[in-house]
Amino acid sequence: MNRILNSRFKPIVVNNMNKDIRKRINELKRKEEAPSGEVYQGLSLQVIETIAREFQISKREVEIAALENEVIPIKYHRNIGTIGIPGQRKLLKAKVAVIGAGGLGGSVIELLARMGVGRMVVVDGDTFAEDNLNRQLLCTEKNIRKSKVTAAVGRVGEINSAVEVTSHQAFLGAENVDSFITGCDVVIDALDNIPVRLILQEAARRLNLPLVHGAVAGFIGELMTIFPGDRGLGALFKPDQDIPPTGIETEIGTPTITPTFIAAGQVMEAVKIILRRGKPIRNRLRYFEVEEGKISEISLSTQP
Amino acid sequence: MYGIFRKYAKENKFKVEIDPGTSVEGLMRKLKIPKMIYMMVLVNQLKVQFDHPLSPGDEVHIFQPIGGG
Repeated sequence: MNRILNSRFKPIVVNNMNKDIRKRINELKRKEEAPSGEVYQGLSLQVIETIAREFQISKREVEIAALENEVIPIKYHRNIGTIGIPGQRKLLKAKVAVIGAGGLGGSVIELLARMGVGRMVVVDGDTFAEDNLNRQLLCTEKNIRKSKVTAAVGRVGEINSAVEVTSHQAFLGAENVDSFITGCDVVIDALDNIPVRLILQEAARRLNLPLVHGAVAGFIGELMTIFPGDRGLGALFKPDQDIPPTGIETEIGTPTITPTFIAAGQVMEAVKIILRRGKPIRNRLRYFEVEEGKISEISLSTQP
Repeated sequence: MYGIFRKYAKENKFKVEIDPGTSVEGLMRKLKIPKMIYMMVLVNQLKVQFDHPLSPGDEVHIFQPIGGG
């Protein structure tokens, strides 16, 4: 939709401005040498900021314009060999919702920012507690009792200030879920309980959005990408049966290794979806027994 | 069998001989797997209850639902 609007209403003035931005990028780009010896045209953090200020546009827009002219923001150079300039551009244009900014969410947010996913919506109504310190990347001794989403915004700003973060200090529910995820390209489930996950899945299905599910307990984690037509968690939890609010994690806790492991898998799925590469893990629950280094797949029936 | 249930078997994937009509609960008794609050059983990719009768060739997955984040 945005793309259609942009192309239809883009006035000539903007086209001229685009030309000026391109010119400025070419003036300020500099030759960089990669470890391979390859020389490329790079754009430094400082130059990105300067151009954004000069043209009153966002840093993200400067970076997209640079990549469109085969100039690489230096911070993304080590991504380019794997995902290419078009891939980096797609990530910068993408918008990902992260529901939950705890153990999974903290790591997911960190990785999305470093991948250069350009827009993020972060939703969590919670504040940090001392017992979050063992696993939640965003939690520090200094921000106990402070908002998780505020920490997320701060952290992303420190890692990659070109990323535009919209934060919602709220717990997700049926009444507000649509307003958080509408317009996103991918939704990441970093929640900590099963009933709310089912609300999220229902909304993602209704709004035709891919959802990347992750959950952890002890040294066990699971991962699955759920496309709108998939049964997803519906294959495991039936609304007419008693749905446990939580799983075994209430007894065995969650050491940091597991959420970090699963969060990386979730971001990989999101990147695959945005870049349309690889094969998303659908209709299969990928089950990680991290201690044994064992990965299994539990196929789920696609029949209702 | 996955996670905590691994200790009830040498391998996480194996064949078991049962009498026809044995339920999931009967299979668990045979394998000495205790019934737990956090437990999920899939037979041929479908979630079932403990009284579900098993047939020759059924594929059974026993694991724990997890919900942490």
